Amino acid sequence: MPLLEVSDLKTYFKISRGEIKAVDGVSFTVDSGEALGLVGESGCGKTTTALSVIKLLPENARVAGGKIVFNGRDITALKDDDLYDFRWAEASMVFQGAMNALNPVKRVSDQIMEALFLHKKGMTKKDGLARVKELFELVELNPSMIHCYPHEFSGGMRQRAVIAMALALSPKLVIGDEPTTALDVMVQAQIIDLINSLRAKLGMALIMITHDLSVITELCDKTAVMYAGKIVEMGSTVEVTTSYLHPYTEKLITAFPNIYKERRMVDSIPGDPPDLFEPPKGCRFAERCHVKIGDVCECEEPVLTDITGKGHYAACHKLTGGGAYV
Amino acid sequence: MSETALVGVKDVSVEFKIRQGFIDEFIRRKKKVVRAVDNISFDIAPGEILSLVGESGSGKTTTGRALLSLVRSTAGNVYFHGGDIGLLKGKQVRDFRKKAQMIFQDPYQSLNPRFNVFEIVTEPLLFNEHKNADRAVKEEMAVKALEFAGLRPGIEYLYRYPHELSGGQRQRVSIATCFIMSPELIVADEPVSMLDASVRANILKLFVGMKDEKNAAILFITHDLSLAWLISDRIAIMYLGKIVEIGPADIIAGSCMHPYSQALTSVLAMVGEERRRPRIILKGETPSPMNIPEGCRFHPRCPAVCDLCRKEEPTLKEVQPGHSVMCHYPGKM
Repeated sequence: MPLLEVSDLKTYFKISRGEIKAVDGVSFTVDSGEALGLVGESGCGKTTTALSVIKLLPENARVAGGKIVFNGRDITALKDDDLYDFRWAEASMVFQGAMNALNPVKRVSDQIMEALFLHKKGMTKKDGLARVKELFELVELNPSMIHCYPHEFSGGMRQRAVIAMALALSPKLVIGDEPTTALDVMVQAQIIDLINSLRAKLGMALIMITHDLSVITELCDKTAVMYAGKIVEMGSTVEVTTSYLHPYTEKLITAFPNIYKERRMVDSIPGDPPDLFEPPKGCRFAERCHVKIGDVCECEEPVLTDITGKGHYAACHKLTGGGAYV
Repeated sequence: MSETALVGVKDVSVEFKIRQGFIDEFIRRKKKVVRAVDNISFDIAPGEILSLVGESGSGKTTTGRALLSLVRSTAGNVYFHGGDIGLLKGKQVRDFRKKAQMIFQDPYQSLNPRFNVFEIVTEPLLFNEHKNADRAVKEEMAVKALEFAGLRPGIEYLYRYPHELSGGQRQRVSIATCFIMSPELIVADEPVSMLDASVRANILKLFVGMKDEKNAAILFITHDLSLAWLISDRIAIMYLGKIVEIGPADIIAGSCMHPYSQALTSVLAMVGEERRRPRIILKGETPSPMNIPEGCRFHPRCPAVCDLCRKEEPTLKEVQPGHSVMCHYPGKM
C-alpha cells in the first residue's frame, strides 16, 4: 500500500467571476521513502496540489473532488480539529522563502519548539531544547546557534533551520515547495546534498515541487510533469528526463541548456498556458503543441496512459493513436 | 583597453560606506566601508556579449551599475569610445545615457503601473531628437520596437497596462524601451531569472539579436553559468568583488582553471544527463565583503589551498591568450 494515494484530485479557487480549476483531476501515489518530483511552470497547479495534500489551502480554495488517502486514512474531508495528528506529525512542509517561513521576532529554538509542544503534550522545555539541538545537528547547523534570531542566519542556514522545523516530529512525508530556488548555486548544492543524506538517514518520503528540472534530477526517484492543472507525464525520473514522451516535457527539457552538448538556442513554446477559468475541451496543450495530430487534440481530452507498459505514463493523443495521424 | 573595445573598465573599485549607529558616530569611530567591487578591469567590443557570473554579493550588479555610472566608482576609470565617462559633464552625460541602457531583473517592478505600454516605451524619446515628434511618428517607433522585442502585432500592445501583461511580455516591453534608443551598450541585470524556462529562450534570443543585428555590446549579469555559456562570447566569474577568471565561454564552461569556477561548473546538473565530473561542494558560504580574508580571498573555502594562498593575494594572470585566472596555482585542482 502506498503511503500517499491521491486520486482524481480537483482543487478550485473561487474568484469574483467564478471558479479557477487550478488542479483538475490529478492522481499519483508516493510510497514510503520514495521521492516524487512535481515539475511545471508558474500556474500549473503544482503548489496547489501540495497544499491540498497537507490541507493548507487558502480560504477561497476548496477540494471539489477526488480522494487523498494517507497511510490508509482518508484525509480528504478531515476538519482542522482532526488534523492535529496528521499535519506536521505525519506530513510536513518546507516552504520556499526561508525568510518568510520564519518569524523574525522569535528565536529559532522557540519556533521549532512551538511545533513540538503542540503535538507532544507534557514535553518539558529541557526535552524540547534537547530535541532542537538534535535537529540542528541533523541539518548540520551549529547547535550553539539555537537561540539566535532568524536575521542572524545566512540564507542557507535559514533554509536548514526550516528543514529542521519540518523534521521536528519525524514525519513520514515531507513536502518541499521550491526549497532551493532562492539560494545561490553552491548553497543550493549543499541543501540538495543535505536532503539526500537526510532521506538516507531517516527514510522519509518526499514530494519536491520545483520548476527546475535539474533539482529533480538530483533528488527524485519519480517525476510528474504538470501543465495547466493536469499531470501530462509521469514515470521514473530517468525515463522522464531522457526518453520523454509528451511534447510539453520535450519543450521543457530542451529549454535547459546543456553545457556538455553543442551550444544551441531552442525556441520558446509559443503562446501562453490556457485560462483555467474555462479550460479547453480537448488537450490543454493543443494550442501550443508542435506535434498536434488533428481535431482530436482540440475536441477530446487525452487520458494519462501507461505508454511503455512499465509505468511511464503520458497523456497525449499522438502516443495513444487517438486519431488519424497525419 | 584594446583598441576595438567599445567600453573598457580599468582598475575600477566601488566602495559603500556602512551606516553606523549613533554612538559610533558620536565617538567618531572610523566609518566602515564595504568594497563591493575591488580593482577590476575588462572590456567589451561592439557585437560582443560578456557575461558576469557570480553568487549574491559578488559585486556583479555593482559592476554593471558602475559601467553606466549609476554608482560612482571610488577608484579607476570607465572608458566609453575611448573617453572617460567619469569626466563627462551635463549634456555629455545625457548623450552617454542615450547610448547606454540598462535592463532590470524584475519586470513586475521596473515598469510604472500607471503608464501604458506606449508611454513606457516612448518615455526615453523625451531625451532625444524625437522629443517633439508627432504622436503618429512616436507610435510607429514604439510599434517597431515592440515588434523587435517579439510583441506582434505591436499596435495591439500599445495601450495596455503592465498588469495586463504576463512576466515574459513585461520583460519584452522593458527590452523594447531599451531598444528604442538604439543603444550601443546594454547592461542586462538578470533579465530572465524571474521567467519560466519555456519563455526564457526567446528573450535570450533578443539579446543575441541586438548583438548580431545592431552590433551592440552587452554585459549580461547572471548567477546561472549555463545560461551565460548559452548566449555569451566571453564569461567573467566574480567572487567577493574580484574577477577570478575570465575567458571564452566554452573554455570557462568546459575547462576553467580557478578552483571556484571549477566548483561552480561541477555542481551544474544537466537534465537527463549523467554527471560527468565529480561534484565539488564548497563548505560554508561566501564571507561578508566587510571582512575579506587575507591573502587570496577564496582561500578559506578553497579545496586546494596552499601556504602561499594564505599570505599573498594572487593577480589576474593570462594562462593562454584571452583566458586569465586569478590563482597562484591555476588548474592545480
